[in-house]
Amino acid sequence: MAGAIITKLPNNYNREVGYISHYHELDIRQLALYDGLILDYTDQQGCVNLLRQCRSSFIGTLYLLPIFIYSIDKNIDPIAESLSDGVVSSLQVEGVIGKIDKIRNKQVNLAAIDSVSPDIRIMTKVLRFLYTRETRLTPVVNPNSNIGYFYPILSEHYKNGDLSELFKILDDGIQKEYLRPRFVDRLHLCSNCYSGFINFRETCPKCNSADLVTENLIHHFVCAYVGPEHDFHSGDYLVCPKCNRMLRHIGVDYDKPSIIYNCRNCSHIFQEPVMEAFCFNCQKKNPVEALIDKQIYSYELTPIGEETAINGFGREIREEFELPGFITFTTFNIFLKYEVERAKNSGRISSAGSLILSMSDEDRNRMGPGYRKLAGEIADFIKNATFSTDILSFVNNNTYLIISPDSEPTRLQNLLENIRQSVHKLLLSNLVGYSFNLVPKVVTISSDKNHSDLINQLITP
Amino acid sequence: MLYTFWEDFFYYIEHEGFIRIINLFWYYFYIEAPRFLVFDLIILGVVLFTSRRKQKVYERARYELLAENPLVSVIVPGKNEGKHIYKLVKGLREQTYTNLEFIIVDDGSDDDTYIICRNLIENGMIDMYLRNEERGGKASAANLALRYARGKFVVHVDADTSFDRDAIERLLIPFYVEDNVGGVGGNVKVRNYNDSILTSLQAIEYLQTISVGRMVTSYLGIYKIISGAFGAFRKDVLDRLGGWDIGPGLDGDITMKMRKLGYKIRFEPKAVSLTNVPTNLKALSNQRLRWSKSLVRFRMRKHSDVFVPQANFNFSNFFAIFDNIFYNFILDMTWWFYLINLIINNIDFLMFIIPLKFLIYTTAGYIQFFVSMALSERRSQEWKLFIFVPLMTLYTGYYMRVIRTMAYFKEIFWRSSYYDAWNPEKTSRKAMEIGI
Repeated sequence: MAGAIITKLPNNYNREVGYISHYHELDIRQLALYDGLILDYTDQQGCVNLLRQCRSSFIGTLYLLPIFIYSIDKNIDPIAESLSDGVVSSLQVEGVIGKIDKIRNKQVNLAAIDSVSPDIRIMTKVLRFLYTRETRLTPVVNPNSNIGYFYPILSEHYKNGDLSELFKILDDGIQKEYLRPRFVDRLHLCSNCYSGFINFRETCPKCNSADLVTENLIHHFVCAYVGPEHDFHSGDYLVCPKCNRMLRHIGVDYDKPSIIYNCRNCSHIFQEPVMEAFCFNCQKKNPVEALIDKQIYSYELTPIGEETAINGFGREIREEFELPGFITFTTFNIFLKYEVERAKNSGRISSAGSLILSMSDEDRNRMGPGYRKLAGEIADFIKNATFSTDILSFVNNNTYLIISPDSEPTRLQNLLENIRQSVHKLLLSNLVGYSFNLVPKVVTISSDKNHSDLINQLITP
Repeated sequence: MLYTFWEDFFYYIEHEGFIRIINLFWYYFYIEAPRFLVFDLIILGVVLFTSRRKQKVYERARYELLAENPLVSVIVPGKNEGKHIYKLVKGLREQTYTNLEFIIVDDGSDDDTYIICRNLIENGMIDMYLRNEERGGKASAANLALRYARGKFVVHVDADTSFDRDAIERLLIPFYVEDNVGGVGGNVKVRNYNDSILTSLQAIEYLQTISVGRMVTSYLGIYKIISGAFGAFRKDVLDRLGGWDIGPGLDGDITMKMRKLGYKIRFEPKAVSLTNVPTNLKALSNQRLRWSKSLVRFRMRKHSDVFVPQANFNFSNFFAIFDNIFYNFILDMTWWFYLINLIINNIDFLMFIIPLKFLIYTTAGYIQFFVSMALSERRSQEWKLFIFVPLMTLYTGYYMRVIRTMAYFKEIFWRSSYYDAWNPEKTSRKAMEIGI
């Protein structure tokens, strides 16, 4: 397969506009150099993948990059279209330059933001995307999403299992008045996995089977016999089994006062089946009243949101909790910066590492305050297993950071691996029904490293 | 003045003499007293005399019932009975006989029946709740329950009835005492006898006509009405009959249909249920008008074939209906002539005749009351009713006769039971069309 082909489109606007027709082995980092891109839609998959990669990046020059789709076919994947800045049918820069200029001009207003909280980074992306595009965040119908909708920019960061987090961040956006919602749809989602892929079915109140047959009841006025319709069937006619009279006229001879359910599994007779919502995604059987009632909105940037998009957040979105013996992230950053400087001056090698406690949102929510206790117990374990000279910090409510001065990365790697295994052994028996993982990462602190890069490596899952 | 009256009163009695007094009140002494006093006393004497011997048979039957332990379907058809349902079900779950299935049929209620029954179903307190959005009448509701009942026996109860703990067990025993018993009627007593004078009078009436009266007719084999409030039926017999026909009076009708098929009908005085009776005159009058109309509609019209000598002719059926028609209908009509005759011919002595008549009826009333007390299992509560016995002369002797006469005329000449709101118009129209 041929490698990626990026063609610079000549123009008189002093803008670097690239046209990409082949996507194989494309390194998206080089795209940040462009003012805008036009993607050929012939390789639909390659085009969509590239769009998703760019929009899921945390690098502003990538996720805000004006990208257009070039296609003469009107039939464009709605998700791809929602991620792009428009569809063009010619490769003339004139057709896109207006929009590129507008985006770029707005982009220059944006202040640098130095936050490590994923929530803040994601919210920043959303606000800035909406600000530079002067558009709404409009959900697109997506059968592959558990909730049936795809939010451009935002949905890229949430797998199907983490959709409660997606709603949380949008609700935060409304609460803090960054975003103004407008109703689009109402969803009923599985209480276990937030999936909307649900089968509503009538079940037997006794055995829960959905193998039911329904039948009309017939009341024969003359003799007061009441029974299911099949009692009356006699060839093509309806004949009363009690008095043998033929039923001629509904409303005059007879009526159908109600229906009856017969469970073929347990033979139970009833009239009120239990409605059950079966989730195709996690296979949980939900009572209908337990489903999560969620409204889907499109979102518009408010003046506060615009201000926040430009200048950043005054405070963190989500409260972080501190652990005793663990320094704050800001102090940790200073220590790391100092360690990098020390490596530059002395040529010594130190190492830094992280243990990311990975647990699904659903389990985390289910655990409630127990999660904080769990994080504290793991912290105690780490404290006991590391040297007193090691510097410990905790960030994002799930990431333990360690600087191990004058220590080889392999030693720290082994140490973190041992901690991981021990914690697993210790907690597995106590956390029945929950799945969690501790993911170790180690980086070398050397003179050629930048402390921001190191942090990014450590905290990115 | 008062002294003079009583002096004259006793002088009148002495002057008339015993025989003339009896002849004067011939209606009571020749017709009513032999049937409702003397006859009842004789039969009760026989019943009590043979009761010890029958006790053994009864115990054996009870053992057989408990050994077989058949499933019994308790069916409760009704409309707007929401306020009674929870208490009823709670009470039924206290029964000593436990192999029961509970089926409630809601015949188009617009009260809280639906919510209450859903709750009972969800809590596993009843087995089936069937609802007809369109009201079809009590017979159709009972038939719907019958269609899905799984028990060997079906116990039909009214929602406002409550039961002694052993009531259902005792109600089922007669099926094992004799062969070929198709249905057993339970004893129905008045729960709200303390509410008003009217309910106290009805309580006395129930004691005399149901507790004692049905014991007698059952012994004679002419027991003809298993009360809808509390009665048990063999499910296979009900199926054979196709269940209940359109009412009013469907309980008497189904009993007669069973009798015609040759099944025995029994009354079990020890299977006691309590029901609320109407507390005001209007409600009571409506109830009794309905009951009395059914005598004409069912006994005199629908089941008049029992009087015709034919292949299925049966003397006990003949007498069962004859007893009913003669004492309730014919004598009710003739009573007016008797009364008018008594007044016209004794106009000068009415001042003596009225208290004398009252005295005779009250004395007889007390004899009947003491008999019913002797037989009652809750006489410690019921004996207080004795102060109301004198008023029974007015209640049964005049009020009931007036109501009955009105009902008979309405039904004979205008077939008014077909226009009774007790049944939906759609079913009454069809019943009238084909004359049932």
